[in-house]
Amino acid sequence: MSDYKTDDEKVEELKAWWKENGTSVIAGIALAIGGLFGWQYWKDYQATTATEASALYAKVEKASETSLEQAQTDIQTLQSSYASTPYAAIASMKAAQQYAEKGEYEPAATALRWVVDNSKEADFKHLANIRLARVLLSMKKVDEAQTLINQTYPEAYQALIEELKGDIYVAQNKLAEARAAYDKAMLSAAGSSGELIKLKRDNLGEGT
Amino acid sequence: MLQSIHDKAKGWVAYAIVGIIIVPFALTGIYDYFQGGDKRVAAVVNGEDISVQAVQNTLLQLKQQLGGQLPEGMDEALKGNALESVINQTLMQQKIRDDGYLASNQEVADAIAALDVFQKEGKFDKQTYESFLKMQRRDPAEFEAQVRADLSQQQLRNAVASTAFLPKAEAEQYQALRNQQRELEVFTLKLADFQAQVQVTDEQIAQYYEQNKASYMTDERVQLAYVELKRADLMANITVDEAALKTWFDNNADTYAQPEQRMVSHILISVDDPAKDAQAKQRIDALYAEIQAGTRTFEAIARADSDDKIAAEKDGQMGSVVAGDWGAEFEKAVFALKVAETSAPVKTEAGYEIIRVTEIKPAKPKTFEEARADVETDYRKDQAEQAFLDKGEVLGRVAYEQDGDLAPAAKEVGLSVQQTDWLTPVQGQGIAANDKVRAAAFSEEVLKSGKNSDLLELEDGNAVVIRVVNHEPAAQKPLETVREDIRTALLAQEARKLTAQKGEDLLKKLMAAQSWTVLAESGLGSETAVEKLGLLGRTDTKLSPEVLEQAFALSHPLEGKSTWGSVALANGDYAIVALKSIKAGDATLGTDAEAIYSQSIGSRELDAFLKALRDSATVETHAENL
Repeated sequence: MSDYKTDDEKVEELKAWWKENGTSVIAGIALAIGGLFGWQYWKDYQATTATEASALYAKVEKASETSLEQAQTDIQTLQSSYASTPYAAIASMKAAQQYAEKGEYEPAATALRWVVDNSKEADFKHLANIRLARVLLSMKKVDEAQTLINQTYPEAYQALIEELKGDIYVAQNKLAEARAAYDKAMLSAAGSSGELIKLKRDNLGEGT
Repeated sequence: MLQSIHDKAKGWVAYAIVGIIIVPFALTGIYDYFQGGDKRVAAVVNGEDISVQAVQNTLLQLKQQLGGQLPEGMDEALKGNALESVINQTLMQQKIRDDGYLASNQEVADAIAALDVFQKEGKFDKQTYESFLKMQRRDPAEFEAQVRADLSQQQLRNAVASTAFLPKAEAEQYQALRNQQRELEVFTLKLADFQAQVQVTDEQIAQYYEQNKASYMTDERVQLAYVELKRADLMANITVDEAALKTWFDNNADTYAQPEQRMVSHILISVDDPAKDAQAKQRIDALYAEIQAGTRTFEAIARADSDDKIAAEKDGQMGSVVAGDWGAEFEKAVFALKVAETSAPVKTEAGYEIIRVTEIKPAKPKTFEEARADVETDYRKDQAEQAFLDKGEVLGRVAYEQDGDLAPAAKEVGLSVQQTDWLTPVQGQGIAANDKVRAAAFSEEVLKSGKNSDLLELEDGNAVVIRVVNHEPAAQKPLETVREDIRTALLAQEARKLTAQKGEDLLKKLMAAQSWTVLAESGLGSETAVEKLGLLGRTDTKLSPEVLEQAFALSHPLEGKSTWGSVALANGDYAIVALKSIKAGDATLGTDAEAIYSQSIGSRELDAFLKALRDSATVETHAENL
């Protein structure tokens, strides 16, 4: 920086620089502005999608109490057009609930499998797997249930998994293993929520 | 070098550079300015800061929920709870944002319409809603965003909890287990029957005493001398003379007078959005012109056009206005008017208003005679407070300066030294019922060094200074004084052991024989003493819950056999149970039962889901900042 320049020289230099880089600078700015608008558009689009899905789910929730057939169309719309929102998975789980509580296990399992295969949300997948295992057990598909439960789950689901292992062992008539699994489940299930496990555990007695 | 920078920092290039630099500085400066408050961080959740302020707010809410005084040590636990709760809230908010939960307009509208406060005759009323928000000075858009956020969070919780279920077969299994009945027979060995058979020797007592010496100590205790300064006494002792009361009254006449009240009506054009100020001004001017021209009356306009819908129903009357309760601009306008005078449009805190004063109730000063009783009480209170502060200061100071004795301090304030009964660190009467007094009595300064305490304020507003006059340290109780207590305790313990021992032996024999006939042989009772209870449910009252619970945890009996079990009861008795048979319960599900089962599994699954959310998050806590 030892050579002094006059303002004119500096202007000349800037002009030269602009000639060389002007286009890319303008392109850059245009890109940035375009990106900003694009981003805004994308956000708006996402918000619209989410609220539409939410409204559809609200319909499903209301209808599912009375008529599952009516809800079915909306659930399909959610699964096909709104799979990227959480509401598609929630609606599917709602459907599974309504079927399974009536003893219609096949469609319940189908709905849960959709969640396992399509949800973006890892924890919904874990929950759907656990619920699917329960449904499979009720269908006496013990081996399939066991395969699901033998997958890896985060520590937080330990109590639910151990309880299901207990149920599977009971179905396989492995009572000693079942007792151990229920005992583990009760240890990690907090407070009164372990009451139902205790019901099953106590019924197995101490063995001999 | 500085010189060369200086030389070059001229001309438009330099200005341009400075200009560019200013922008970010200005922005960050403004940002910091609006942040305000406590900027320390209580936790960092997935890179998002949680301010100490947020945790403090939650802590305050928790405390208000619990109400009243909190036991010591509770504070720390509550802080932990508050921090946890804010962290979990943040995690849920992040999840809602990242996964894209967003309640729809219809749901927001439904939720708002369902709120009682916005309803009129059981239906949502738009006007009530708008005036309520106006009264609360809340922006509808902001309020609706809040409702949407709450709903979205509810959706996340419900996503797990209200989709949970048990398959019908599994629920029926629980129902059957719940309703299961068990055929039971029970024989109870009574502790009382074995008490005569146990003995405790003096050696055993001595040995027990040696091993448990720490439990046989007297409490440390002290007696206190104290000087108590009482507000009530000071108040009674204030000498009142008329002249002083009169002066007091003259100085404080305002407080005894009823202030001026003005009955006010108004027409309001509110300005919610500063951008629409001009529009509002135009409207109010047009209305004012109508009043002046006489085309419409003030009342008619107030009814039809005023934004104050509550006042509108009463021709614009808004009730009485007393100075000091309202916005400054509004009051200035109101108090400038005469009775029945209508103001020109004025800009106030609420927007543009035309104000009319319909009546002025002038301030009513009270005479000294009318207010005398109040004046005397207030005067005494004031004087007593002054005396209390003065004397308290003297008492504390002299007690500190001459800390080997209370008499000089007592004399200085004209009080006498009194004495308490014995008190322990946890219990005392009179002034010693106060925790602060007992803490001070057993403090290093007062107990060990034998000095006067500081001036202590009691719950009733009085104040004391204390010193210890008698002290008894904790001492070992001699064996002789506790011998009988120990004997009783040991006898009970031995009798329990013996009863259980006999019971266990009997249980083995019964298991081998599979019949109560061995009872007679063992000499512990006869078969007639066996309670044959038949089929019992889980909550049957014919059997104590202790025994029942054990009975329902016994293995299913094998063909032709009973399952035998036993339980040592809390009262020392020992029950032996024979499970003869099991009858499967009714598996039919009622709606209630089904709801209970799905709720139970739902809450467990939600707990697991939230725990998983927490476990997978990066959370850094700074409890030390709280």
